[in-house]
Amino acid sequence: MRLRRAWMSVLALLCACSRPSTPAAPAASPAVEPATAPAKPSKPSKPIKLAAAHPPVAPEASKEAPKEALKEVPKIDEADLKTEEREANPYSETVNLKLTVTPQVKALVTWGAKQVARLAPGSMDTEISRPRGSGPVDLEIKAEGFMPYHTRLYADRNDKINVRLYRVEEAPGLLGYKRSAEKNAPPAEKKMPEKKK
Amino acid sequence: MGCAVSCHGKPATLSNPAAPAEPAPGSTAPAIAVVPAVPIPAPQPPKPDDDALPEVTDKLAPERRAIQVVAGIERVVDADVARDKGLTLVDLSDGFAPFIFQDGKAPDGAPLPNRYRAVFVGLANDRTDGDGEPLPPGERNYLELYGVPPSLSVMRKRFVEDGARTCESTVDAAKLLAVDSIETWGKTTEKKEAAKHHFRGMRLESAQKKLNASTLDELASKDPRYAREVKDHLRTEAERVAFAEVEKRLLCEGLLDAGKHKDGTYDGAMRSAALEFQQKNAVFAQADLTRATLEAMARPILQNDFMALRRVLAERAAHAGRIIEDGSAIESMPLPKRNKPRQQPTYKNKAGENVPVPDLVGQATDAVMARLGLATPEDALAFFRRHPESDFRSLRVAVRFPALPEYYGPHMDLVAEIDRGDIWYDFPFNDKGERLAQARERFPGFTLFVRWRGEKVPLASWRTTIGGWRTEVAADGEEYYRYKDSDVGARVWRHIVAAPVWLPPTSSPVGAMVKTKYVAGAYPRVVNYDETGPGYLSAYGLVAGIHEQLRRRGDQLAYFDNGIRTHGSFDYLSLRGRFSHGCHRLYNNIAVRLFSFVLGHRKAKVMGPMALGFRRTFYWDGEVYDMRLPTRGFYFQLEPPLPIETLKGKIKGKLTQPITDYVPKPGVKYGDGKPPAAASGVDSKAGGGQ
Repeated sequence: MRLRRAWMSVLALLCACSRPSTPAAPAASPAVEPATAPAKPSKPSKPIKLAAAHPPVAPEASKEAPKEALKEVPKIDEADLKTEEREANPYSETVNLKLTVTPQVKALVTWGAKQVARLAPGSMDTEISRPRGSGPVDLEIKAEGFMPYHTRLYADRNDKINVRLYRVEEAPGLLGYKRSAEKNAPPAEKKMPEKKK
Repeated sequence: MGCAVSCHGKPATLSNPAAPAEPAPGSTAPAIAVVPAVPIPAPQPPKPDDDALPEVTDKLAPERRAIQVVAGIERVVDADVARDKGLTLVDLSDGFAPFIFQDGKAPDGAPLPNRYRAVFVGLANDRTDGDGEPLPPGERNYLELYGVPPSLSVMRKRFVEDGARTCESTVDAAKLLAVDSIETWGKTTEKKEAAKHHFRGMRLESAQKKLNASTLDELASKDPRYAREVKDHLRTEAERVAFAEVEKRLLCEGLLDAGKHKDGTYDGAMRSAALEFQQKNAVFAQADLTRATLEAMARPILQNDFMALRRVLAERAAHAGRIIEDGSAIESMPLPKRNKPRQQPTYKNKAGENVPVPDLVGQATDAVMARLGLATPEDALAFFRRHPESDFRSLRVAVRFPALPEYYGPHMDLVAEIDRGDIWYDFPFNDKGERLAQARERFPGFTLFVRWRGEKVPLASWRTTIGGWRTEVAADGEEYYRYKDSDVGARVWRHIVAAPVWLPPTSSPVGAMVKTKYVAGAYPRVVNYDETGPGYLSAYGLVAGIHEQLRRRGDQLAYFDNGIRTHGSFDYLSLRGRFSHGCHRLYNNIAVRLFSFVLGHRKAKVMGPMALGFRRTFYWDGEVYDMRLPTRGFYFQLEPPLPIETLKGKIKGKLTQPITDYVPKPGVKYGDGKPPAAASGVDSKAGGGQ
C-alpha cells in the first residue's frame, strides 16, 4: 500500500511537470489566422500512461504507443481536401450510373426485385439512367463460383464504379471474415464471458 | 411539464420555444396535475400596427408576395416593400432548408450543389426517407428530435387530420396523470408481472376478509405488514388504468394499429405507437411511458400540434433572422449561492450600461406567431384550413423582428468554449468487477460568446458531451474498455461541414455495417450507411465543426486534426448525461442553427462538396459488401478560423490523467496475450450513439 502511494506521488509529480501550468488563453480572432499565427503554437496536451496506477485491471504500459499515435494523427491540408469533380450540369433531370464488373464471367445484376442486367464475357458493363436525387441504387451481383457482391451507385450525381468479384476461396483474405466465422461458429467454440461467481 | 423543461434539462421559458419538450429527469410531479389548456400565449401585434403593409391588389409574382395578418384579417403584401421597411421575410415554404444546406458558387461562378438539401427537404415533407427514396404510402417521418422539423405542409396535414378527430373526449386525462409513469416490460416478463399482480391481489383480498377491512388502505393501517404490498398493488392498478387511457389516446391519434395490438399488453404495435407519439411531440423518451409522455397524452391533440407548430416557426425565425440567442445563455453564468437566482448575462451598450442578452429567438417567434394571427390552436387550424397545400410552395410572412443588439455585425468576434464539467479518469469498475458510482454534479456545456467592448458575452449555452470509458474492438478482435478523451486547450474551427461523413474504423463491428433494407420490391441485405452518413443518423449528425490545432512541423505551422468535432447528433438521449468518443455532441437542430449562425456572421469561403473516394470491401455471412463514400460533405472555410477552447473541467477521483491503453472488461476471459496497443485516428473519436 505504502509502495503504491509512493508510486502515485511520483506519477503525480510527473504529471505536474508534463502539463502546462495554466490552459492557454483563447487567442484573439485575428491571431488564429494562418498568416498571423502565433510563433509558438500551444503544446499539445500529452496524456501519460497510468496503467500501473490501476492494479485491478492495469495493462502494461506501451512506451511506443504515443509515438505511433502521433504518427497516425492526420492533418487536413488543402492538399488533402479535393473538390469533387464537377459535373457538366449538376441540375440535370437524370443521371447516368455505370457499373463495370471483372472478371469476365456470366453475372446477374439485380436491384431489389428488379433485374438490371445480365452480363457476359465481352460485355461486362451496364448503364442505368435514374432521376437525379431519386436515392441510391443498391445492387447485388451474382455469378457462379463467386460470392454475391453488394454495392451502391449514387443517383445524386453521375456515378461509375468498377467491381471485382471474389471467389469463395478468397473469403479468408477479406476484412470481417474472422469475425463473421466466429459469429457463425457453433456455441461451444465461441468465447463466452465468464460468469460472475 | 413537458413544455416547461427545455431540451437541455434546464428550466425552460416560453422564450426557448425551439427546444423540444423534454421530461424532467426523476419527475416527482403530483399525482394529478392540471394540464393548462393553452400554455403558450401568443402576444398580439402592437397597436397601432405600424408594420401593417398595404394589401396588394395587383397580381404579384410569387417571389414578390408575402402575407400579414392585420386586425385578424390575412392580406397579401409586397415583399419588396416589406424589405424596404426593414421587415424580415420568414420563409414558410416547403422548400425551406437551413443556410448550411444552400447551394454555393465557385469563384468562377460554377454551381456547387449541396446534395443533402434535397434529402433534408424530402424528409421534412414526408416525401422521402433518409436515402432520398420515396416513403411508402401513409408513412410519416417524425424527425423533429433528429434535427429535421416538419414542413408547414406536414403541419397543415397534421392539424387538419387531428382537428377532425372526435375521439379525444374518450380519453380521461386525470387517469393518465394519476401515475408518475407506467412500467413496461418485454413479452415474457410482462406475463410474469401480470401473474404476480394477480396473485398479490388474491392474497390481499383474503387478508382483507380475514381482518375485516373494507378497503386495502384500511388493511394497510390495520396490519402494517401489508402496507408495502398494498402500495405496490394500488400503484400497479393505477398504472393499468392509465395504460388503458394510453391505448385509447394512441388509437384516437391514429398511431396504434388495433389489428396488431392485444389490449392491455405492451406489444410491438404499442411500443412503436408510443415511440411515434413521442417523436411527433418531441418528448424525450424511447417508447417508455414516462411522465412527460403521459402529460403530452393528457393534453388536447391540437394543443400538442400547436406547440409543435411553434417549434417549427422558431426554427424558421432563427434562420430568417440569423440569430442564436435563445435564452439559454444564462446557463453559462456561475452557479448562484444561497438560493439566489442566477445572474442574467449582459453586454455593454454605447452608454456603458449593462443590458441583458436578449432572447432573440423567443421574441422573433412571438413576432411571427403574432403576425400570422396564431394565438390559439384554433387560430392555427383556421390558418391551415384557409391555405391549401399548394400555398406552401412559396409562402412567406413579413414580420418586424426585434432590434439586434449592438454587438451584431457582418463579422462578429465569436469564440466558443466547452466546459468539460466533472471528469472521472478512474476505471469505473472495482477489482470484483462491480461498477463504481462516478457522480457528476456539473455536466459538460457548450457556450458561444461574442467578444464585445472588452467582455466575453455569452449568446447561447447548451449541454454537450465529452469522451469517457467506451467499449472498443482492438486489433486482436477482442472488446476492451478504453478511455476516449476530449482534447483540452485552444483549438479553432476552420472547416464547417454540412452533411458530414464518418468513416468507421476497421475495428468497427462488421455485422453492424450490414442491414436489411427495402429495395425496389425486395428486402436484400445492404451496407448500412446510417452511421456513416451523410444523413441525420450519421455519427457526425447533420453538421460538424472540425477542431484543429496549429502545430509546429519543422519550420512551418500546420493544422492538425485529432478527430475531435463539435457536431450534431441523432442520439438525443445521449445529451442527457452519457459519454461520446471524445467529440462534443449537440442536438442536430441546435448544431444546424449554431453553424448557420456562425457562417452568417463570419467571413467564410464556400468550398463545396469535397471528394473522399472511400471504399471498403468486407465479408459478412458468405457475401461481399462494398462500402462506398464518394463525398466528405459540403465544406465551408472560415477566414479567419474561429477560436474554440475546451476547458479541463474538474477532475474527480484518484487519477488526474487518462489511461490510454485498452483495459480488459471485467468478467471477460481473454487469451493469454496482452491487449494490443490502442490505435488512434480521427474516426475513432466519433461513432454511434452508444
